[in-house]
Amino acid sequence: MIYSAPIRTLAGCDGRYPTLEEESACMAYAASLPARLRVADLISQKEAEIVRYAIDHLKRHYPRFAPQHDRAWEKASRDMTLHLRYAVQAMVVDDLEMPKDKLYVWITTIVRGTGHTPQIMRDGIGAMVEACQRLLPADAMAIAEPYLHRMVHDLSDFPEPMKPAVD
Amino acid sequence: MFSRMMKLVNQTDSLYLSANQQKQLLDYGASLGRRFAAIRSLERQENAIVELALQAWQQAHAELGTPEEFGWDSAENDLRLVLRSLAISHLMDDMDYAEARVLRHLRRTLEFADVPADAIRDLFACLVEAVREKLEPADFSQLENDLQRSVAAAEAGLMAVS
Repeated sequence: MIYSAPIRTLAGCDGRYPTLEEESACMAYAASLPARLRVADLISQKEAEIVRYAIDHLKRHYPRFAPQHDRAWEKASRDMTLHLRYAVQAMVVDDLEMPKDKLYVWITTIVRGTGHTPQIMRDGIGAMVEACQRLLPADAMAIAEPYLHRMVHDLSDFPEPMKPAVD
Repeated sequence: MFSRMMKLVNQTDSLYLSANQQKQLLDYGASLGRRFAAIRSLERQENAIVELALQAWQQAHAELGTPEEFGWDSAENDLRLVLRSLAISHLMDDMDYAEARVLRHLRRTLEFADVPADAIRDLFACLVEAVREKLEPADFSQLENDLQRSVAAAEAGLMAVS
C-alpha cells in the first residue's frame, strides 16, 4: 500500500513520465507542506488540552464508564492522543485512508469486541474535533478539518454491540 | 514502501515529526520544482539518450553482437523504462522504486541472456554518460546521484551473484 496522495500519484506513473496535471497536483502538495507542518505543530502544542477537553466531555456524558473499567480515563487519554496523532500524520502526508489502515481499524475492532458503542466513540472523538475548533485559528482548522472529521467517522464506523458495555 | 517522505513519517511511529524531520520534508517539498524540471529535460531527450547509450555500449562490447542477436529484442524499450523509473524515483526521492520496479528485472533479464557481469554494469554506466551528454549540466547534476546509484546497484547485484 502506498500512502500519501502525491506519492501515490507518482507511483501511478509506472512506465511513463507524469502528466502536467499530475505535476501540478504534486507541486500543489509541495506548496501546501509548510502550512500542513505549521498546523501539525499547533496541534502538538495543544494536544494535552484537546484530549483533556474530550475526556471531560466523556466524564460528563458517561459517568458509569470509569467504574466499569480499569484506569478508564488514563487509557482513554492515551488512546485518544494516539488517534489525534495519526490524524495529524494523515494531514501532513495528505492521505485520508492511512490512519484507518494503520491504526483505526485495530481500535474499532477492540472497542467493538469490548462492547462499546459507535456513539461513545463519536462523542469522545467528536469532542476532540470540537476542542480543535475552539483552540486552533480558523485557517489552521480549515487545513486539519477533513482529517479530523475522517477520524470521527472511521473510529465510529462499526456495528452496534449486542449488549453495550457502557450506556 | 516508496518515498523518503513516507519513510520519515513512519519513523516517527506515533509521535509528531521532529524539527529535523520537518526540515527534511520541507527541503523535499522545496526541491520538487527542480526535480520536475530535470525529469522534463530527461523526457525531452529520452530517444537521443537511449540511442546514444546503446550505441556506446555496443561499441564497448562488440563481442556480444547486437542486442537482438543475443535475445534482447526489447533493448530500446527497456532502457526507456529504466530512465522513466529513475525519473519517478528522483521525484519520490527514493531509489527503491526504480530498483524494485525495473532495475533488478533488467539485470536478471541480461544475466539470463548470458551477458557478462561487467557488460551489465557498463550498460548502466553508458546510460549515465549519455544522460550527461544530452542534458544541460544543471539538469544532469540534479539527477546524477540517482543515476550513479543505478550503476552502483548493478555493481552490488553482480558482486552478490559472482
